[in-house]
Parts: sequence; C-alpha cells; structure tokens
Amino acid sequence: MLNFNLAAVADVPTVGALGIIAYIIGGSITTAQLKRIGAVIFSTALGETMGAMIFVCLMLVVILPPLEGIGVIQLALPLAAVAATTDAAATLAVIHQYRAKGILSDTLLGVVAFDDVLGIIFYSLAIVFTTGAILSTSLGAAVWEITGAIVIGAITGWLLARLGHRVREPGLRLPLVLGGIFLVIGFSEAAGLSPLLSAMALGFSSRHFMQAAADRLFAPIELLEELVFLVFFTLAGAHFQYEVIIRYMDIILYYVAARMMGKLLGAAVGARIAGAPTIVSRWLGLGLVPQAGIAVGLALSLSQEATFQTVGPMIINIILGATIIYEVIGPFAVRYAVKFADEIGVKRSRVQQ
Amino acid sequence: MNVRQWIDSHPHTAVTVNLNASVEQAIDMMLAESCARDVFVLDEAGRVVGHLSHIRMAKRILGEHRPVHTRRQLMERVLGGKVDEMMDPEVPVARLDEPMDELISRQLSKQLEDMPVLDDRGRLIGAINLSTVLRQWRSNEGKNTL
Repeated sequence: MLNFNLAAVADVPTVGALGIIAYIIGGSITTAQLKRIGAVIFSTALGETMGAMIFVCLMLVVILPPLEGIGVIQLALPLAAVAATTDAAATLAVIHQYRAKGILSDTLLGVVAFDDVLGIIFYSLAIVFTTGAILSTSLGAAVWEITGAIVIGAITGWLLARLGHRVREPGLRLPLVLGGIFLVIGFSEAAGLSPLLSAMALGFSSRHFMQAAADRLFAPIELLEELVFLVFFTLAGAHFQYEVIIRYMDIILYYVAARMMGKLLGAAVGARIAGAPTIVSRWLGLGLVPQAGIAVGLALSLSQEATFQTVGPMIINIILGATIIYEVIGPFAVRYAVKFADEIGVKRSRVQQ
Repeated sequence: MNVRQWIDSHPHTAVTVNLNASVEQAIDMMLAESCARDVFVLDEAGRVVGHLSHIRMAKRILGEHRPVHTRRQLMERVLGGKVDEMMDPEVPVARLDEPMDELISRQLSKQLEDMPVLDDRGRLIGAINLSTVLRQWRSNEGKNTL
C-alpha cells in the first residue's frame, strides 16, 4: 500500500501556486486602467474588503478559544484578510446566466475584478504584521519586508518584459514566466520578504513594461489558473477532517455570517461615499458573497506559516467549511442582487450556454 | 513577382486608425470596408506601430456573451480602453523587394488577411490582400503566377 501523506508535502506547491495567482492578479490591471477605475468601483471595493475584514476579525476575537502559543488577534487578522477575497468567476457566471445588464451589474463586475488585488495586499500585510519581522525586530524591518518585496518584483518584472520582447518562440514563454515567478518567490522567501507581494509586483511590472505586448506573458499562464485552483482544492482536501469541521461548526457559521455582513455593509458604505446610486449601495454587497479558490489557497498558505502550524487543521477546515456554504448560497445571493436591482434579462437556456 | 510589382498591379489600401482611437472606432473603420479583417495602428508620423485582428476586437466588443473571462478580460470589459492598450505591437510587414511566394508563406503563418507594405521610410503604402491573391490564383486555375 502507498503510504503517502499529501498534506505533509503541500508547502512548495502551495507557495508556487499562490505565486502564479498573485502574478496573474498583479497583471490584471494596467496603470492606465488604474487611472480610469472610477471612484465608485474603487471606493466600493475598498469598503467591502475592509468591511469583511473588520467584521470577521471582531467576530473571531470574540469567539475564538484561547490558543496555545498564539494570540487571538494574531490569528484573527490574517484569517480576516482571507475573508476579503471573492470568487469573481461565480459572480460573472450568474450575471451571464441571467443576461443581467445595468448599473449594478456593471459596478459589481468592476468590484469583483478589483477586490482580489486588495485581498492579496491585505493578506500579505496581515502576514507581515502577525508573523514577520515586526514581531521579532522593528517596524523598519516590517517596512523592508513589504517594500523590498515590491522592489524585487518590480525589477524582475522589468527584466521579464525585456526577455519577453526577445523570446519569439511561443512555446518558451510559459517556462520563461514560470521561471520568473519561482525565482522571485524563492528569492523573497530566502531574503525574508513577502513572496505574494513580490509575485504581484512582478505581474504588475511586467505588464506595465510589456505594454500592449503583455498578452505574450499572460495568455500562457492564464490557462493554468483553473489548474492552480485544482491544486488548492486537492491539497485542502488532503487536510479535510470531518471531526474538525464539526468541532468548529459554530466558528464556521459565525465566519460566514460576519463576512456576509461585512461585505454588505462595507459595500454600501463605500458606494455611498463615492455617490453611487441607491440601487448599487443597497444590493451590490449580495453579489460579493461567493468565495472559493483564492481563499482556500490563502488558508493553505496561512496554515503552513511556522507561527500557525499548531492550528493549521483548524484554519483550513474553517475556510473549507465556509467555502462549501458560500458555493451553495453565493450564486443565489448574486441572483437576488441583480433581481432586486431589476437587471435580469432573458435567462439563457442550457443549449445557448 | 515581387511585392512592388504586385502592389502596382493590385493596389489595396489597409484599414488604419490612430493611436488614440477607441476599439469601437477601430471596428467601425474595419466594418466600413468589405472583407477587411485587420486594422493597423499608426503613430503621429504615420508609422505602423500596431495591429488589431478582427477576432481580438470582436472578443472585446462581444465580451458579455462569454461566460468565462480571464482577470485581464474582465478588467478590459469593465474599464474599456483605447487601441494602443490592446494592439499587438509586433507587426509583420512586407518589404518591397520581397518575392511574393515567400511573402505568402509568412502571411499564412501570421494569419493576416492584409499584410502591410511599407516604403523605405517605414510608412504604409498599401497591403497584400489574401483574398485578392486567392482570386488571382483561382482565375489562373491554380497556375503559379506569383
């Protein structure tokens, strides 16, 4: 019989796969698009990500049992940052299914496109401030952990763009990009920098310097995104423990409720501050309920941090349990958001899909 | 036959837009010309600096009919953009002294309906249209007249 513990060797594939996602997310937006993003989308995305973080963090501080060797806030902060991410694919699929059109649908797509950028940044900062240099040395070291990652990512992105212009053979582009990502992650890990921030900076920088030719550096690796989520769910499945889910069911349910409340209220406040129509501020938060792959990946990464290894199974199973609930209720929530906004068109038949 | 001789006997104008044009403007320009499938982007000096295929523009314009988007496509759908953000800056071009049979091989591999032809100063003077080449080929019953 094979005696292979997949969960025990999950570190390297998790870091590599998260690096790929961070690179894709970093390269999803250009400087020109950032200038055009508009106050409503920016403010709503900021509001809903921060709302989810604040609500989940406060809830966890109240409800988490005392943990051996870990402060409650120390665990609550990065777990709350995981709550900021959204499953954009689920939201898009529902909008497509119901041919939804209008101000709410357009704003919702903008927000889900942008909020994972904020989610990765918040998570990386939370990790730095709860497990990194700030605990052992000084604030300056923590600042270096963040800025150093951004600088390394930006410089490597410039180099990657230079190489991308020279490599003509399409088959070599994927190894080139993967090499760049793994190089940056490896260097960041060795130098004590944030690997996720450096990978995201790599994506943003290489897209910026490649300009309109950036398709060559992103099209090959975007094909891997679904595979990466498959890796996340496989690795998370290896950590799945029924008894842990049952033991922490109350935390899972409170997590789900707190994240939803944070998304709804945060989106409403963010949209109102930016002067969005009432229909957007009232219903947009419902469209942000889905959560899946990135949250699972971040939970895996969090459980592998040395600080949190004693509570690793708890972290993964809370997020897995919440993800199962979100995958069931998320699409309904998006549907009700567009329905209440009166933006549902003619539903597509299965044949038309 | 070389490219110069072909251009003289089969003049064809490529569809062009300037760098600041929107994607909608570019696709309108393309649709105004029957059978056009390629739009070339010119800078202020009239040099070709980019290429847009009709499938690339159609994917952007008709994006809402796709149930799955990459993150870049989603951002493009939401925020739009001008042609300079989505053009391919590496444009294959024909040289005036290039033999036509060599050029056709390159044109087929690049899947271009129109291959731009530049003068010595790098300015666009016309294009080799693949449909015209096919028409010529068929009218000569497959005899190589290139």
